[in-house]
Amino acid sequence: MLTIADHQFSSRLFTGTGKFADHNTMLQAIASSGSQLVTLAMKRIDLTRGHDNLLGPLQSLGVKLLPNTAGARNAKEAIFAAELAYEMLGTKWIKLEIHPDPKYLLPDPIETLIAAQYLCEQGYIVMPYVHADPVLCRRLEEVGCAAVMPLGSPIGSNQGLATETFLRIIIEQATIPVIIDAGIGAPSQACRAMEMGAAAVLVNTAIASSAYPQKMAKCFADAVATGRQAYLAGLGAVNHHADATSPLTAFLTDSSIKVPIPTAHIMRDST
Amino acid sequence: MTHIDSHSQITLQLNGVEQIVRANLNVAELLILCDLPTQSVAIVVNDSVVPRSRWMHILCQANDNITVFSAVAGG
Repeated sequence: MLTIADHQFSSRLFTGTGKFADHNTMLQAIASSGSQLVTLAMKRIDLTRGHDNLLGPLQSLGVKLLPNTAGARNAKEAIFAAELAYEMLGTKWIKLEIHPDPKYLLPDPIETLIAAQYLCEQGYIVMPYVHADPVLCRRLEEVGCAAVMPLGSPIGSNQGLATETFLRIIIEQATIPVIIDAGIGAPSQACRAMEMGAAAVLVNTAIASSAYPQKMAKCFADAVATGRQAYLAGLGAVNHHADATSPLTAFLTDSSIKVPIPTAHIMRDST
Repeated sequence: MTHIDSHSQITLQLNGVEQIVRANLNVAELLILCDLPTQSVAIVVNDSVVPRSRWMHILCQANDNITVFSAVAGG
């Protein structure tokens, strides 16, 4: 079981709700994923288009909701968004996202740390989306974040674990859950993240933008479970040179057996 | 839009759209009047989040900038 703050999760696959073709597809995919933590965003209601009820169906799935602060460009806006989320959903769990640049959506580390410290002091369960920066992740842990969510690659890019070297350091150092967020584009990448020792992964685009989201969600669930089991089983060491798995002695080279010359018909059959 | 009666009606901005409503309308009543959801929303009046417990006590004022937020899909 994965424990974050006072909550336990049996699934280590967290999912987002964006980019699905429709709510029904999203709900089927989330159900298929087995995810127990689902992210959502906040937006001003558009009076010309009416209210789109997302919460009702999500709550019927029984998942825990993790509102994010997407759209915030600095700490002040992110804190405001967290307060909105608390008022709206009654939860102090918050995925802290501050990305001022819309092209790459890379998180602002300084504003994130400022907001994280303030929100932790206010009793929020803060899960910051950050670059794969081991030093920053340590600082976020020190100010009381419940988890860190370093990116594998840019949001929605499906580029996978481009930051793998640094993710490994973060995982090695952290004493809070490390959830790989953003950029995971294939189940194999999610599996790899879990093999590395990630506590969980958060996947949205790769599922929502697949041809069959419900099937892909199940693939991710299986991959995450397999990756976790592989991590727990303990991966073998990686060697630079070959290391034989079969005995290389007492067979041909050091015995008295004379290796026969292949017969003609064997030669013919093999051509 | 113009005022019909400046003593009984006020003009305010609701989610960026100008509205003429009666004076002494509180925030909770405003949501109902404008057919907005009252559950799982957050209200901001002039840049301050108004707790649900205060909705009945906050009267709309002329030129208020009121914003209602709800949850949407996101990652």
